[in-house]
Amino acid sequence: MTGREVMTVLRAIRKALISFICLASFVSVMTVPVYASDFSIEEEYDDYIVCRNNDSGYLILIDDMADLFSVDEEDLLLNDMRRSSDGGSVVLVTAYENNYGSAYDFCRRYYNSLLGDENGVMFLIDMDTRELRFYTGGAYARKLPGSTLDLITDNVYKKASAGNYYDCAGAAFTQLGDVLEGKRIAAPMKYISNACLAILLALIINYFFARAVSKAGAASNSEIMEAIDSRFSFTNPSVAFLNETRVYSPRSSGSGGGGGGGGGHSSGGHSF
Amino acid sequence: MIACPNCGANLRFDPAKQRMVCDFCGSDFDPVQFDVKADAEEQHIKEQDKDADTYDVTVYTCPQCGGELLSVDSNTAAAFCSFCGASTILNARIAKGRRPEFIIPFSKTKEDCKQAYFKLVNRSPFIPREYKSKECIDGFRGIYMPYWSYDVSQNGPVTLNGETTHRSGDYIITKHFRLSGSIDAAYEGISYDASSSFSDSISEALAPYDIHKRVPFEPSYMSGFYADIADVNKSVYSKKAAGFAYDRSLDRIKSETREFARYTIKEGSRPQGKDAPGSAFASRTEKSHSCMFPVWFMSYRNGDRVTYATVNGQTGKVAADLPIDIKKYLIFSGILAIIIFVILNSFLILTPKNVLIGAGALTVLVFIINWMQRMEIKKKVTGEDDIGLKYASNARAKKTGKGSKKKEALDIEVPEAAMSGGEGIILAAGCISVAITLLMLFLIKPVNDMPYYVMCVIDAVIFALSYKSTLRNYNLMATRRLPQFDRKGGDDRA
Repeated sequence: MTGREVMTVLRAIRKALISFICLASFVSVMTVPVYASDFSIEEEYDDYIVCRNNDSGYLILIDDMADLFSVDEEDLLLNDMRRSSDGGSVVLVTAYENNYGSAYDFCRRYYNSLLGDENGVMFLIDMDTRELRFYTGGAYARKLPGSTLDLITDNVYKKASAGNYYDCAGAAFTQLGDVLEGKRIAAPMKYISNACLAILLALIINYFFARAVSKAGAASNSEIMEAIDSRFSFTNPSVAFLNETRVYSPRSSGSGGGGGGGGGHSSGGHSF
Repeated sequence: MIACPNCGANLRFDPAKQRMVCDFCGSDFDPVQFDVKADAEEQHIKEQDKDADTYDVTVYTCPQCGGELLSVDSNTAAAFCSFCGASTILNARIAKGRRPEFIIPFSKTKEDCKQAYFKLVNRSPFIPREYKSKECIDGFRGIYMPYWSYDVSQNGPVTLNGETTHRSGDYIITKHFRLSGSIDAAYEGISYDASSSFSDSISEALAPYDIHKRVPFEPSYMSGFYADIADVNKSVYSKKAAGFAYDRSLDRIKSETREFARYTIKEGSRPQGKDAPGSAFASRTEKSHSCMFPVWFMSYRNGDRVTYATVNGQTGKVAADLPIDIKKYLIFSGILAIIIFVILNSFLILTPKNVLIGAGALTVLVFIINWMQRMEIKKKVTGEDDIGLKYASNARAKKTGKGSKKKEALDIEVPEAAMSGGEGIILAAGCISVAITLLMLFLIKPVNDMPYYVMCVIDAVIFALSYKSTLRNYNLMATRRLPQFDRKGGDDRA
């Protein structure tokens, strides 16, 4: 091989290397920024992605068993979910079949088997019971009470009814992120409902108040006794046994009370 | 009229001084010793009156309702009726009044009475303004109400049922015992009002009167005051008095007899039946005394309704009908609603389902309140809970020949408690709405929130319409029909 040919090969290799580097750089620019700065993928299958928030260490998981999202939609949803993963794990599950009876039971079992009592929030789109449901655990159960979760599902259920599951899940996690960041979310019916109930309650309370104020208390027996003359003596008290009755009443085998337990959970949902 | 021995002017009994005073010359006299100053002939007549158990009175009769009041002052023109509130000159006639045995003289002045009443009405934010007006409050009139005062004694052996209960394995074992002993008890001065125009609810609210302060009756105590007529027989409340004595003795046996402390004395010990519990503990009503107890009485007439305000003339305790001013009531409700709204918003986010449950439950509650109000109005009008009124109604029915049976006499039509056509429609709409609500919540379970909110609005409308009846009923309960006495006169509107 002549020197000219060697130079040509070297130039081609250099060109190929530059192209590879450029391509690699381009690929890394196109893909890595989505995850790299905040979370990294731990597992990825067709409809199952597990990531971890690099800062907090919490999981971000999508389990699309009902196959409602495309790959691109899942990627975008991961971004929406990331916002809520600073204080706990975030899970999005869609189910085509629910063998647990209710969406709540499905959530409880899924969440407990995955996270136990750890901080976290799970959002389920249950195609079997046609229900959207949030389920939280740990610190998130306190931060996200059932009423707030109900409000979010109230706000997004129409999207699911219309078949826009990606929009529904996206909006749900966006609003969830807003709540966790202390922002207000739209609650138009909250004010109308509360105003209506406040008026009805006020009228009822006022009625009982008026009755209480107008009621003249009758004298007690002791007051009457003070106002009259009385004497009383009771002598020769005696007690005679007559008979005995027995009633069969087995002790309750149940432990009574109980319940509660666990690290505290909250839940909220809506049909669609 | 009881004339001042010094100047001849009218004397009146002064509650603050507890003496007869002459407003003209300023003299005052002991009400008991006062008669001694009368001349011998007059004294003789008075002694005869005492023997005959009567005294001279002027009977004032209302031409509108037929209500009667007694007075020892013959030269006073009564310008309004305390029973129906009519502003009219009452007809007067001289008569002989039955002399009661005892009287508790007024010890609270009209000023004391007004203050006590003011205290009560100031506590009620919804009372119409006219009830606080000077003209209204000046209408307080001192009236001696007739009472029967019973002396009940219990003397003899007592037998009660007692039991103890404990658990042994899977069995609850109850041991039954006979508890016995001897009782020697007496209750003197158990009092009930003897006028059918004075409802039991008012007399119970004004009680108690301190029986120790009663004195033998002297007409001089009545000077400057009026008296109501006793039209309830002394036998009417004697069982109730015996029942009261029984309950108090039973209480004391339970609490004071150490030997019985470990036993539960069964309520079944209370004798059942027609004479119960008067027959228990060998109870005997030894005596019943006719008495007069002091009441400051005010009536306020508003259209065809009247309200009463009463103040115990001995203790100053107040009992009054307190109707509501709807405008004030709604303003107050509005302020309360704002406060509740702020509180609800601070912590409560309700799902449409829960809002519907809340609205539906409150609507049902209003229906229940309405129903209870109607029952109460009916009781009040028919006198079901007023033994004296029941007795007087029966007596009148027998006298007029209307209804020989007791039940018929009490079978009074109560239009106030009846449901109007509009209210019937609201009730029907309410029932349908509740049925739809239940169907929606447990069967249909609509996915969309809108049906829930629509039902909430329907419930709220039914609530509002029904609540209108609640307010109307409230004022019916807080006011009274114009009285209609079967004595003289009469008012077609009553």
